Amino acid sequence: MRVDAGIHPRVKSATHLQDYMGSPWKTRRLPGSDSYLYPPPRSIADSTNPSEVGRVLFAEGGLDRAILIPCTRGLLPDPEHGSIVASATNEWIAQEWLANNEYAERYLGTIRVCPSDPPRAVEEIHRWAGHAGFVQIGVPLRGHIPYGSPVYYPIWEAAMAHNLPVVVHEDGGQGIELPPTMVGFPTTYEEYYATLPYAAGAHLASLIGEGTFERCPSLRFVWADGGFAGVFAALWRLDKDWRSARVEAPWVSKPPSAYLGKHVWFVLHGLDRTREPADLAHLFEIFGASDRVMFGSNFPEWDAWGGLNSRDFSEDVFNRVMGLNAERLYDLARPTSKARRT
Amino acid sequence: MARFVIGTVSEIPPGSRRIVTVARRSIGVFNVSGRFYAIKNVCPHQGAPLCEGQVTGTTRTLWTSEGPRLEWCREGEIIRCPWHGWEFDLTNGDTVFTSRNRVRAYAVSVESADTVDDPAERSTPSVAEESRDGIKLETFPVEVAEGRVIVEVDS
Repeated sequence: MRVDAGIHPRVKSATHLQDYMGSPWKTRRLPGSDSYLYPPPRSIADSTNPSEVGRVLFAEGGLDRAILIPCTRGLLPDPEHGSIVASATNEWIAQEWLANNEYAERYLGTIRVCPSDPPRAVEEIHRWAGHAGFVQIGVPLRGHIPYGSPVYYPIWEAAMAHNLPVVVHEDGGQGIELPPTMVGFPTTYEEYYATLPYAAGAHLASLIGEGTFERCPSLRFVWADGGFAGVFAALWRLDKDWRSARVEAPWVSKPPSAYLGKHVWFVLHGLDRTREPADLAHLFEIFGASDRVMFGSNFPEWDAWGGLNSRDFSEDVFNRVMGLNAERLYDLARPTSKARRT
Repeated sequence: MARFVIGTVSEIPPGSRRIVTVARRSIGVFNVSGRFYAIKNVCPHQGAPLCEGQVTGTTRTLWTSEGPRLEWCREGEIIRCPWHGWEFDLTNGDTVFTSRNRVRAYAVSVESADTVDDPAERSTPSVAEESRDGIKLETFPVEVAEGRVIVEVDS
């Protein structure tokens, strides 16, 4: 099975999301999805039409499944408004992508929630978890409080209750998030884009250091902005000193990198390698990552890529990264009793 | 097994320690609430003089709905390495953290002069064993006889 774990559908017009909101929200203006401080240079395609995207991905591209990660509008100042946007996004995906098009059975959705509004986030998870088309919970990469904080327990516990992984991806649009880097706002898109994945390392240090994986033993995170090698290297540093720091955090019961196995997956991006494509196989080996890295094209962004070249990898590693890992994580092969409702 | 008198009970009151060199080995003898324990003065991490570290307690986790909370426990039974703060249990040489490393531990027993003939009342010497994760300090049997503290070391 070939699976693309990183497809970004877009609404067909700036106000289309409001069509899925009730009053008074449908008339409250939203920041535009193009009010983005670091817009990608270009897109390679229009990703607003499920039939058209499906033709490119499935009919021409040979994919079997595509995991949709729709972006929302950044962290809005009003958490309730953020939850309304997330909810409308899920409604839009359910009605237009997971149903009512010829590729609906091949699309898999992400239940977007607003993490600064945990009670509504939990409601939203319960609302959609029974829908067979949704395979994970989605939260933005940036915010104000790292994801290991107990304020998020209700969200993670709801995800566990439905056995759904949580995907973290940089959002679309600019909200009230902290700067994308720890040293402030970068100047250019390139600086922003290259340093983005390090935020995953900060969240992971928090999730491990604050004991969230001890508290939530079946919680699974997918980091969808690439950069897996840098994040793994950061975890080596945690491993180095965790014994000395144990007295401050006795809930960390094992070497930090030991938490990766049960809890952490990455979406592989096209830039996650050296100049020599085959070096990536070596990186997988160094980090023991070949069973937790999943191909994601980032379609339709400018840097969308077609995946690994089978010449550079063993058949086993190639198959795992290009589909099997996603198939296992999202349990895609199992016949489902869940209904696809609209 | 050679026996070395390293001092009298009154010279090493509860909470104190004496670091001695016997049979070419540096060993720390600790009085933990009236019971004596001896460990090798070498941290298994990087060879630091472990027995010069702080004798203290440690933390454990108390889970609450608001997240994990620290709870202080085992005051006086834990030694922290002076270099990197690794924590060891003085009473058995185990690490407080889990790890794949291994340190050698020696059993220590203390016997008082008036109970030396009553084996049932002797502290049981602990023997060097693997701790749950592999790291364990080398410990030595300590005996108290006639008010003297005696350490047993393979010579």
